[in-house]
Amino acid sequence: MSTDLNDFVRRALEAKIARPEIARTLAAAGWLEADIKSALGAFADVPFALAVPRPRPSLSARDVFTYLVMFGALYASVWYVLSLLFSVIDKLVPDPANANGAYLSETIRWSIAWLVVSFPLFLWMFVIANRRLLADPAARNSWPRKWLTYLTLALSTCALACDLASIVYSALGGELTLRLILKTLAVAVVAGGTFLYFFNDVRQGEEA
Amino acid sequence: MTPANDNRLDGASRGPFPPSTLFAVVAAVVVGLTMLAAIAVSDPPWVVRDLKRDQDLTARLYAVQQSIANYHHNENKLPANLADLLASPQTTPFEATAENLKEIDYSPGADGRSYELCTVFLRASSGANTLFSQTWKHDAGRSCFKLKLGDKLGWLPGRDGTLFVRN
Repeated sequence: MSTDLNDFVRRALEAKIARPEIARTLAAAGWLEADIKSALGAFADVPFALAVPRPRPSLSARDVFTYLVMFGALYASVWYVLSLLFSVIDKLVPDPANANGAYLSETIRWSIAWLVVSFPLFLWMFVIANRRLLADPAARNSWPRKWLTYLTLALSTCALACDLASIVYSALGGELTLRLILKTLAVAVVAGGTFLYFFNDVRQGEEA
Repeated sequence: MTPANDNRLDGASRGPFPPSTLFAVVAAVVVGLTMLAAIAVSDPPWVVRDLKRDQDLTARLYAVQQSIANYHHNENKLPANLADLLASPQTTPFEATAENLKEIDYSPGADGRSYELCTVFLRASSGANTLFSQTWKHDAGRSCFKLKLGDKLGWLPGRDGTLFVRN
């Protein structure tokens, strides 16, 4: 963020000028809305003689550990739950041209083994991270949390886009089978649910 | 309720279920149901153990079949018994060893080119859970496979059980 803009906002707030008026003035001067919002957001809306800065995004070793493990376990859980769902669909709606039962059984065992480890680990770190947010709302500004949240949004968006593209491709090729529809639905539910939660989390953070 | 003693997953106060609690519960339900469904459609551990043992036995049958073809290629006759295979030089990656020969019965045919391998399986094979399923399809219990040497040697058996010998 520009130092000039930051200084201007600080002085304006200390001069008791209302935030909407500061925003209008900056917009009239040609500043981008995002920059204005960011500059105003850098100061807490609390009554005090001086402008009170908000906590800046932090980078602590503890956060890196917590969020790397939490998101890593989340990705593993999503991957293996989808693998399991695909295997269950393959078992229930078998493809006569592809008798891969032995491979499916291996996949199911491997996916269950990973889920038994990765999902409780994710839940554990998720609870720890959220308890910390409860005790210290400023922890929402943690850099690892922000970066990994946006990475998760990007990955789930890619998954949903690929999912949609594959079903359109299959429909156009006349290959829309029950197996494909069920698998597409599985990806949509898992990736869509993950996307919705973290999208909501990001919006909550911006509102805070 | 103060934040310190609020034991929900986060402090959001938008309705009875904070988003993080809802997410955790829904995720746990999805993972739990998926695992239950997967366990329901897959074989229990004791069946898996039997199938693995049968697959190992099938791989050994295939090794013996390869070794018999090699033996015939080198000696121009079928072995009188499986112990003869151990004395013959072997060139395929599927070699007969004393371990491989366990639990397998061998009977040479009168025509000098056909023979029979018999063994006892714990489970019936499905098309999906055996190696080389066409040749080695079997029921639970004792099964015998009538095999015949072909003219060409290759690495894979034919669908009718013929092993092609490469000259």
